[in-house]
Amino acid sequence: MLNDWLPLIILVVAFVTGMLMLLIGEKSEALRTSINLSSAAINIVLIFIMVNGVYQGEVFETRLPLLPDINLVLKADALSLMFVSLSGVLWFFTTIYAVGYFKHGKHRSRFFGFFSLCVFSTLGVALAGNLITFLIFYELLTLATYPLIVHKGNEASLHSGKIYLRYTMIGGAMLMIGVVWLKSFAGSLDFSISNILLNTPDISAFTLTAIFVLLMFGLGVKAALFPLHGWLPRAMAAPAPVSSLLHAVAVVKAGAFGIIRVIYDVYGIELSNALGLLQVLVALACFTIIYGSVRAIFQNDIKKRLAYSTVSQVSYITLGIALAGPIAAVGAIAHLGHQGLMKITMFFCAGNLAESLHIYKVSELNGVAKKMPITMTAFTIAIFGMIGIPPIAGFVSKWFLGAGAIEAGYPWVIAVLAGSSMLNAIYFLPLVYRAWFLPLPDEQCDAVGVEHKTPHLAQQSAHSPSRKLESHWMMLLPPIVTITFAMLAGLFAQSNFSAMNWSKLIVENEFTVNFADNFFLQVETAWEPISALLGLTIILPFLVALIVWLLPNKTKLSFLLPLCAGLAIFLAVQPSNLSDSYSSLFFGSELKLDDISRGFLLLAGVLWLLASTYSLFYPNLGDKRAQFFALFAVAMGSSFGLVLSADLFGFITFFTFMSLASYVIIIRGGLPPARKAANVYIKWVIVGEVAIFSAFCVINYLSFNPDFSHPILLQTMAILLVVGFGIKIGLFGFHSWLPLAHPVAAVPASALLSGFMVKAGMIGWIKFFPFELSNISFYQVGLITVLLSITGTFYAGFKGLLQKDPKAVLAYSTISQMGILSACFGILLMEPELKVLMLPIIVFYSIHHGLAKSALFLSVGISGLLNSSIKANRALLVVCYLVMVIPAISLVGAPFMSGFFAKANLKLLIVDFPLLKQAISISAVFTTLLMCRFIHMTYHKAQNNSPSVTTTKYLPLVALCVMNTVLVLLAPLSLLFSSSFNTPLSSFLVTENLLAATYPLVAGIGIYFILNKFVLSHLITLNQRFIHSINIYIEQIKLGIGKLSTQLNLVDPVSTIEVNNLQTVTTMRYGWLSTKEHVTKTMNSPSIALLLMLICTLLVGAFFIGN
Amino acid sequence: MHSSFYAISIALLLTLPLIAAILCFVVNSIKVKRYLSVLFAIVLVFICVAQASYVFENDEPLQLVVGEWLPPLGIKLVLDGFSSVMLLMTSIIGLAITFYSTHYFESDDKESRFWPLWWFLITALFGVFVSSDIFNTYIMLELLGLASVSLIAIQGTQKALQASYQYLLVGLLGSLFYLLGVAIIYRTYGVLDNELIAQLAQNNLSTKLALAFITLGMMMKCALFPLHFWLPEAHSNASAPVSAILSALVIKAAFFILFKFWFEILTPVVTVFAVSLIGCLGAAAIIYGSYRAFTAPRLKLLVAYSTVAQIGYLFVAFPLMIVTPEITRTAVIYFIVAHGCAKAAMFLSAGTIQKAVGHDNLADLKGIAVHLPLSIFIFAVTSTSLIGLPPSGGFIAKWLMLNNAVQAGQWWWVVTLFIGGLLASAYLFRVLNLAFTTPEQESLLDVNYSEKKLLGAAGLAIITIIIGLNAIWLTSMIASNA
Repeated sequence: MLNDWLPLIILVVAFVTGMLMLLIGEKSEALRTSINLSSAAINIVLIFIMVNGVYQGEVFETRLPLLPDINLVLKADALSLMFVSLSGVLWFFTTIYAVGYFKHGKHRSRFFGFFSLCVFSTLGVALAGNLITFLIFYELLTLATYPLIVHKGNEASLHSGKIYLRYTMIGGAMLMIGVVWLKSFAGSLDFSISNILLNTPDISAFTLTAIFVLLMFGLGVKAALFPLHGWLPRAMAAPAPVSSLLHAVAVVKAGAFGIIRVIYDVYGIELSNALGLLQVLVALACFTIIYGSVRAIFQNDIKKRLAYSTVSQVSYITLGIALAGPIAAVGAIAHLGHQGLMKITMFFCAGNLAESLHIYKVSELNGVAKKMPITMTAFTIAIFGMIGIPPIAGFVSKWFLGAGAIEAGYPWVIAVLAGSSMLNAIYFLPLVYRAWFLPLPDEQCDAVGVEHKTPHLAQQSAHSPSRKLESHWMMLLPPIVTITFAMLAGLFAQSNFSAMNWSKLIVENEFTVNFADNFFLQVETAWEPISALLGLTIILPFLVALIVWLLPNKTKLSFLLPLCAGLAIFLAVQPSNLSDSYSSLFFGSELKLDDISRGFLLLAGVLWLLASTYSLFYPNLGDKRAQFFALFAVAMGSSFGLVLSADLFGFITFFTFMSLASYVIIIRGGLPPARKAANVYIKWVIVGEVAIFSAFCVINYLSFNPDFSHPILLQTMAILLVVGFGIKIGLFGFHSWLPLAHPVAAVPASALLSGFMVKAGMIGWIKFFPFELSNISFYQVGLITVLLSITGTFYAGFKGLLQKDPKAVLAYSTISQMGILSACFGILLMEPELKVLMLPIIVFYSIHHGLAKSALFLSVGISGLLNSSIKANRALLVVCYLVMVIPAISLVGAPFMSGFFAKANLKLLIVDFPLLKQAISISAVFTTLLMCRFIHMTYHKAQNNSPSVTTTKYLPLVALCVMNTVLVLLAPLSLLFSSSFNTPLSSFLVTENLLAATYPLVAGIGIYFILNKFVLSHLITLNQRFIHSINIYIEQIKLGIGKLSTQLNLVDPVSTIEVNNLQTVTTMRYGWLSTKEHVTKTMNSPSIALLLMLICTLLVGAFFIGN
Repeated sequence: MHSSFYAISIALLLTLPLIAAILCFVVNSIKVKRYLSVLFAIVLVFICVAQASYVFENDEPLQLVVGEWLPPLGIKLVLDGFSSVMLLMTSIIGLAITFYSTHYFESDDKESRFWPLWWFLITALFGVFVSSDIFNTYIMLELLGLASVSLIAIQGTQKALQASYQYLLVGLLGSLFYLLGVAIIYRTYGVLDNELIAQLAQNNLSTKLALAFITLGMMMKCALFPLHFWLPEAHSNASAPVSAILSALVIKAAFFILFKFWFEILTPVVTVFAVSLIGCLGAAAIIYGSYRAFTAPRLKLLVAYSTVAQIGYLFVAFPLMIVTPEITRTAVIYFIVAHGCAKAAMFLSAGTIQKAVGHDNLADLKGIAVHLPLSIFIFAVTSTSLIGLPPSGGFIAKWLMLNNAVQAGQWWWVVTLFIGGLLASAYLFRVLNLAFTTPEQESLLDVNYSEKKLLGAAGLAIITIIIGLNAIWLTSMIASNA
């Protein structure tokens, strides 16, 4: 009984609330708020009952007669519940927000009344059980939103309201015609009847297509599909709660939801595909995605930028549906919820900015994060989600869309998704950058000493100390909650009640596929108690980060950091392989400790132990030590995570976390070089992420369908993987960020950047590259990789010589060394059968390089001791030199050092590539040169800088350097205990090998002396001139592009494009109908008489003609 | 016995309002007039509901043969599905307007003149809907016209007098054309009863001429484009209750007659070309009326032109009647009801606005929504219906029309309806837009006007919504018997 009425009751609650709101007087605020919130809460409870019921297979349906052959049907199926719960929950939070927002506003009863009516219609749209009911609520939604858009009552909002009406009225009328037409063939149009149209034979394909076009026109207006999107950016004149509800949930989603309904439940996938309609829709959606993003770039108004972003993001849903495959459909339906959560957060935040600080423009955002940290945190996370950065909800939907695109046979759609992510980053990241990393405008002005007229900002800052929160709590809570939901939706994508899982349920019904069996990896685990430590190792640093971040004054807590690293080391020395799985996390996450990850985990653990201890004593961490430690801990946790995760999602999540944490570590100095480095870095990170994402889509799809073979696509995937991870590893051509970024970070951070984080790319390659695809060879890709790597090795060796900063020299040396590692990977691509033998060598080489490089970087931190004026203890000086020289010669590969064994092992394997063998030997000479340069420059720098710290402060640092050096020396011993190497250590220690290892060292030192004496200074000036002239050219090109774009009107915020759109869209414009005063004319009698005669004749004539 | 009781009640429909008219004329006290009127209006609603439910349940028309003289000698009053719906609508809208009028007039002088005329008007309307005799119809039509003219004239302003004069001439001319047609029919067939004529009717020259004259006359009274010229002045210058009933019911009476002649009485004469001609005029009315409404400077003028446009829809149904008569009939009647309720409520709310602000110049009505929320709300709800947006009677009516046009395969009417809906939204949102505008100077509109009397209008607005939510009883009632 209740089941029959529950859908109706939910609607009635919303409707009655709306009516009550309109009746309650303007003054009685408490009453209004309590009724509003309580009915929203009641609805959430009711919705939850329904969700639970549908989950258990119950049916909720209200059927009311409307016309003899038409029923008003409200039915809760899985798809509608998705939308219903989204609207219901967001209604609650938007109401809270709106109460805060309109604390002192006018016409509140009107606002809340129509607001509830708007929710009422949205719920109706969601619950509609047939197309006619859908149409009714869809139109009602137009009516309910109109008063909200014009709420402010000023010129701008009335104008935007007018435009909104033009679009929606025409669209609604089109939709209605389509529905009527369709109904005349197909009867009741209930969504629950499958294949309605297939069973009605007497419809021509043309008619069906025409109806489809009409329906899509009507729905496309609300879904803001190009070219019907013009109303949306203009609707931004509305108050913030309206924009958030409109853009996140109600209007645009109603359109997208309608598209889902029409394609799935009315036409059916097969029929729409057979008619060739979906292809057009795919193209249109893709175009809208790109178009919206491009337009967004040129908006200075924050809300307009968000609006264009909505245009782009909502088309993801359309795209996923039009792709007509189950995987894409999951992505599309999940995006319905995900985009809602993220976009509503963004609008809440934009509203907060506008209300508290009167910030409306992107250009006014500088330094806002200092004033509104909570708002901007939520905003930033939402932005990351929009870009598609894991593990936030937006990534999940993109992930499925990507795999679905391949399944549906549109692999190029991945390029659209990737391009959209890139564009998203282009238009959103500047907001983040300005808010967090640029100084506040008044601060800047103080520094320059110019009086600046920012009265509201000044006022605000005068007020701010007295206020506890950055804005009213009712405006802060909703964005926090929604963004938390968005994160949880991504983190626990696999859990039972996540949007993604629910979408799967929906899609399973639609496509009659079973995801649980076919597609998603089932993890079988031999679970041991100690396996629990795997997860703990990853989570612990994050917890520490949280604690340190929340309690910035308790710096002592940072002592927890080395402990976390200790746990990782403990795990790494466990003899047995371990694995653990978290089925609800991500898409069913799996952690694995095997031979490869053990080595990397060991390296990570050791380096982090050293570096975090080092940073505890390191004096030059800048003013916010707590911030540094928090970031450091995040980077640590994600490093462990990426080493241990065995699934794509987990890996890419931690990979991204690490990249972003490093970004902040790099930029936090705030000096111009740091800024420049960080900006270059983040650009490459985004490019890399996008490339990895695209490649992972393919790999992900391979896991669904192992027999998939599409040579071009797979080769593209290989190239993308090489590029994506190559960026991280500093592959030649993609390395330009590395020598900028590594030197500007604090010493312990750069030790880790160079020592471990660059290897993340390598880990990604060897973990996820599908080497063993039977029918395809990656020989060419491998060859190119090898060539690039070797070029990089030499190029970096040469370039490093010209550097003056010792850390820059080390950074180039990293590129050079990583070149050798990536060459190994290239060889694997060329000859996959070497994999088993090669992997242990790669791991060992990484450990060797990591330890040595970190030792070298750490030693930079104690270079102050080398200053001759400091008069340090002689023994201490010797130690100082030793901790520099020993890792250096190990890096070169001097006999008995780890480098020697690493290179010797490698050379054994590449007997087939004699040139490569030679190249490695020659590269050793370059490495020697670099090391000489490094030591030289360190000494040089130490002499020029005036010492500021006493010797005793350096002592713990020196001790750590010594420890690191000892580890470098001990590293070869690990080979003795390793089972993976079948060649005994001693076999390398033959004279021939030893000589071969020594000559580069000697030659290198010699050459360096000569070079330094005669040519190096000239080379450096030449290089500087060269760079200078290139920069001039680049500037000129930029200038040219700027001119061009202004000429093309791209920068103009409201360009003529939209006006033209409108003309093409509206079949009829009422612009020509002016509202001029008209003088009413009464007709004179002769003309009336004439008229009467005429009509009479016509009528009589008409009666004759027919017969 | 039971049926005869109901049959006799038909007579009450004519006698009761007449008694009310006379009482209102005789009684001196304004208050008594008011109470009497409201009382009578309520009684009439009950009677109409009872009759309608009887017709609906028994699925047969009620008949009253006056003096038990059967036609062709005597006269007969018939109450079929169509007319019972019309009566029901008339009584309900009548009640709403009656209630409104008790608070509307500021001077007793006007009001004491208003009530008798008002009840004559109601008598005439009931008479038109129940008469089953073309000559009786003429009498009622004349009474209707005279009552309407007088009602406009009691407003007393120069413009109202001019408009009423014009209306008088047009009305008389229309009635004369009708009378000419009746004369020709009587000359040809020798009978006046509707059914008898329908049985005898043949396709010959005189019948054609008769139908042409009747059509012409009724077109004038209906204000079908291009014979609409009198309507905007008349409707917009009358007092609000009068405008409401003129737009909602009086022109519908003329349409009712026309519709009966074309599709029940003189059907053999009707040709495809003729209905298409009428349809085209209807389409032109939609476009032209909407255009004029969009450019109208005054609120009531806008509403009046909207009537011109909406009447066009009714005539667009003519060509569809030939192809799919049953569902088109339903659509037409449904449209009449939806439009009647909506338009009456809209005029009443417009009247309140005019009264409250002192004028109805659209340009100066910014921000009235704050002061007159109920009026604007009613205006908005009825606008929804006129545009044809759900959930409202207008939506169902438009849906049925579209459905007909699609089933009849005449897509050009679909286009007309499409454009008509858009134009309607264009001119009606002009008003709503103004209502939401924040005026530059708040003080200009310091309105403290009670909206109590709008209760009746609010009731009509709610009815508009309700018939949009559950249309099934109304449609089945319309379809129950021919």
